Amino acid sequence: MDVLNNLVAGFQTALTFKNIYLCFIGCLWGTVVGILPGIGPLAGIALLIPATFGMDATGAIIMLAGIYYGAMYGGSTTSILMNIPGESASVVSCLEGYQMTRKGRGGAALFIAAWGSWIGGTLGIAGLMFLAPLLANQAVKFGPPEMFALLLIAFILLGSLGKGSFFRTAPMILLGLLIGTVGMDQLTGTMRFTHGIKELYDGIGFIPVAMGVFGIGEILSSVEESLVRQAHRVRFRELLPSREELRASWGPIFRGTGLGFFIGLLPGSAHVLASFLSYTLEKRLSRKPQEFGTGRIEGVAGPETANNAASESAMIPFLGLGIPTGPAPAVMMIALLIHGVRPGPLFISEQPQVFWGLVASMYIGNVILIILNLPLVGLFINLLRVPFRILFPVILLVCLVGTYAVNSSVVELIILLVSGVLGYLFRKFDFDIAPFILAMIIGPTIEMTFRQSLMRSGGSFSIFWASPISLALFALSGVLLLWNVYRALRPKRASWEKVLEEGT
Amino acid sequence: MTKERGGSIIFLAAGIYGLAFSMGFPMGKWNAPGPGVFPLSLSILLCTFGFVWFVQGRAKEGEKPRERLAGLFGKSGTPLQIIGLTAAFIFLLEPLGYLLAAMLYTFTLFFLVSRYKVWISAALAMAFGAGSWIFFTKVLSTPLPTGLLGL
Amino acid sequence: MEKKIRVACVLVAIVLACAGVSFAADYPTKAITLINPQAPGGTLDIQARAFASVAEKILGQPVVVVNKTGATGMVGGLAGAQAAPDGYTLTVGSVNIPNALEWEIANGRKPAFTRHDFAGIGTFTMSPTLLIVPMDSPYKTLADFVAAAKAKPGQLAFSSGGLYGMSHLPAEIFGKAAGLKFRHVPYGGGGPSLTAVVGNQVDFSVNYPANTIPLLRGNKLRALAVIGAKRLKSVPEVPSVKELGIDAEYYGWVGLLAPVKTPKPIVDKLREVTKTVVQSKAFVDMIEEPGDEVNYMGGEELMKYMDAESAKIAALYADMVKEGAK
Repeated sequence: MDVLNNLVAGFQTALTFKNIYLCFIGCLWGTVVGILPGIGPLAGIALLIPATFGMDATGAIIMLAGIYYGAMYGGSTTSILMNIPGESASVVSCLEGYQMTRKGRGGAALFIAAWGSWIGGTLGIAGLMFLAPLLANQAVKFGPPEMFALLLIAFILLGSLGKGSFFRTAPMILLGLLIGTVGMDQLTGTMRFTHGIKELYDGIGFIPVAMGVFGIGEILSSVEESLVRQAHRVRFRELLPSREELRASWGPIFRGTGLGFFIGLLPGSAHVLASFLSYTLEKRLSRKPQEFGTGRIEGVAGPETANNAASESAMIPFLGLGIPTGPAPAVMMIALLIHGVRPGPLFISEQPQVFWGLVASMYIGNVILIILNLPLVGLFINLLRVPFRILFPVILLVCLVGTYAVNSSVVELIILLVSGVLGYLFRKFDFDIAPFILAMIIGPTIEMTFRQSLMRSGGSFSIFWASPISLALFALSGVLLLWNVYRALRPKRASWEKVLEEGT
Repeated sequence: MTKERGGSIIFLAAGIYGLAFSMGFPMGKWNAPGPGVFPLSLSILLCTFGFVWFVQGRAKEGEKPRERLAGLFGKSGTPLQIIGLTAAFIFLLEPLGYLLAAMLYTFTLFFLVSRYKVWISAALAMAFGAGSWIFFTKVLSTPLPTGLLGL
Repeated sequence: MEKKIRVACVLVAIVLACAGVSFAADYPTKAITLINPQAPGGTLDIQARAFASVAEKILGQPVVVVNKTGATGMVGGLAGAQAAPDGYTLTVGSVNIPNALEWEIANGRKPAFTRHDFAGIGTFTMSPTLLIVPMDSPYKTLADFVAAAKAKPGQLAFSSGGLYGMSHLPAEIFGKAAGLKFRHVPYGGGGPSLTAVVGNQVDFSVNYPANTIPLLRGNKLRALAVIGAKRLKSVPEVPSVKELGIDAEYYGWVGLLAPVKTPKPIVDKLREVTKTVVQSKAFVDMIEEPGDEVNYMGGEELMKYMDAESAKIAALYADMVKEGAK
């Protein structure tokens, strides 16, 4: 088959000593960057671009691509171990991963995260390889109405994300949505809630908020108890997932791959959406949904796989059309452009050696990453044994610097601190944080796609059921809404059953 | 003050703030919503939920408000210290420069909060302050504020 | 003791001043940053990076492009205007600067910075936009399109990369000149705006050659006209709107700016270097490969051009604001 021939040729390019070395450096750097809170793959890639000037195109791209997915792997480490999302896609991993760490299963969580990421990444690349041209054409058909319909589904699922009743989760979602409106409205140029502070023109960055609410909020709550923690000796066996955990992970991993791959094709910050949808999917499908939030491995396996698959498929519209769909493919595009490679419809046919070299190096990169990350699991778990009294000031400092390093903005530091306080208060008052953050992320896009759709149709709502895709998605959201309502009403019967059981 | 009341205060505050400012944004037409529609509806909903939770958060029988307040916030001393110190760090960051501010910040945290002895706190502060400074400026080449000492 | 301190301060100041003067002679001694107010991968980015790669070799120091996006270029523009005037932080300016600023003024707001905060160094390109339609569009020529637009006023929708930006104004100017009314659907950037055309989400759009021509060659969209006075060398089969009698033109210039207080010797050196780079074969090749054209205009001429342009744009906005208020 043509594809396989090309792939073999690609491997020949990629398997040179120099290229493997560059891939390794990229992966290593990416992992470091992913671990550091605040600095994400974009900054990591941007920092290393000058170093690539002397290299040939293929080598440079291999290294930069390594940084990109290395960061995906690294970001989950701090999320799982310390409840601090290292970068956007890892936010969802905080939810179950950190709870697993608190139960002593952090090593297993990291292991499964790496494992799932590898599978998602590798299968994602396979999909990229075979389906790239086809999918690029289909992906563009997803316009504002379709996007809105999809996000509506995500929004309805948000409601079931909370640990308590819907009514307790709802105000958190509203709060997240409101904070998401801060900044310049893209459709009319009106500044909303910015009060002339220029750092707010572009909105409230969600990384400082997520780091604050999850990480710093956690630290503030934890210091209320004794600062002396019992560090327990971690045995090697505890680092590895148990047999049931492994078995429980297969389903989420495969579902995550499919879901992530599909969502990655869409414009915008697909990995966050992918990991979040995977999480809610797993929660829905699980037989013990109420245990989500206390450390279920499915909640780590699915999202981590989904976000890696999404990062692979996010390259498809970009490689096929030359249009980057998000900040990360955009930086890849820069890297390619510098070296005279222009992605676009003619890219694959005109520059096959670069494309296939890149694809092959992605496989190699994923392998390198899993080799890098697994032993690191032990290392990181041991880092946690450092006494909390020493650890927490360092964590605070690193969060502060990491946030500052991105935009050199003191305003963002203030946002970080205020979010930390909010996170602390939310924990005190027992309100759910995850829906708040996720609402902040998808809110602006929901509003924009809704208004864009109406602008396109001149005010007619029929645009929402005009295409088969959006019609199908709306139908699905209707079904989900009804299911939610049904489940909300059903507990009355369940509680009767419980009463009867307890009575006898 | 119960948990529900506490939360409701945050929601009410946000809702009122949103209400106040989003009235000033153009609303557009019902089928061509302007930038004000979304924030306004969110603010109204937030106020509603805030109000509902406030009412719902009525004290249960037999509990005294002051005890509950103490129950919730009794141990907040340490977090407050940390918040205060972090705020100080943020405001001193640009005038003092990163290296100095970071060392002072970590020193104060180690000494006051973690209760290490002065020497140990100082050593740790220098290690982490300088270490992070080196890492971020030399390895990562990110611009960090240079203050009093030109560092 | 106090007197000694004062003397010391004066001496230090003198030394620093001398250092400042000698700076120009040794400029540059460290890496130069180019702030790009647009998203990575966009029109400005491609040209800025092409420039950086050639300029580095001439200047002997790394030239790094940093993206600072937000608020249709206001965030990056502000950063550039407020940067230290030492010649190490330059701004990749474009027609978006007057676009965004004049809009603020037209709406009665005071912009955070103005074009007078900058000194022009030179331009890379001054390209017109292409009017593009999806491959599935029923319009095969400009004449078809104009006829359809006249028959259905206010119904044909176009995508833009952002309000009052480089990919919005040419459409407005075209509309006014041809007496047509359109529906505007803003998207978040040039990339999504183009994707919308490729995906048949809108009826048409306007965008610049560097992004558009590769898609044209790949048969992902169709170009009906050039919104300018002449045809483009790279796509000679596309007519200009002037040929159909529509007097519309808009040139999205992209170039380099420095903070206005940058010392003259450094500004002169930068202008010289820019001229050399822009006229060098390496740069020209990089720009022309996707179908764009190099167009150099010197720094001082650029400032005068910006003045003239700002006046035109202000007039356009005044009309738009009046119509919007109706």
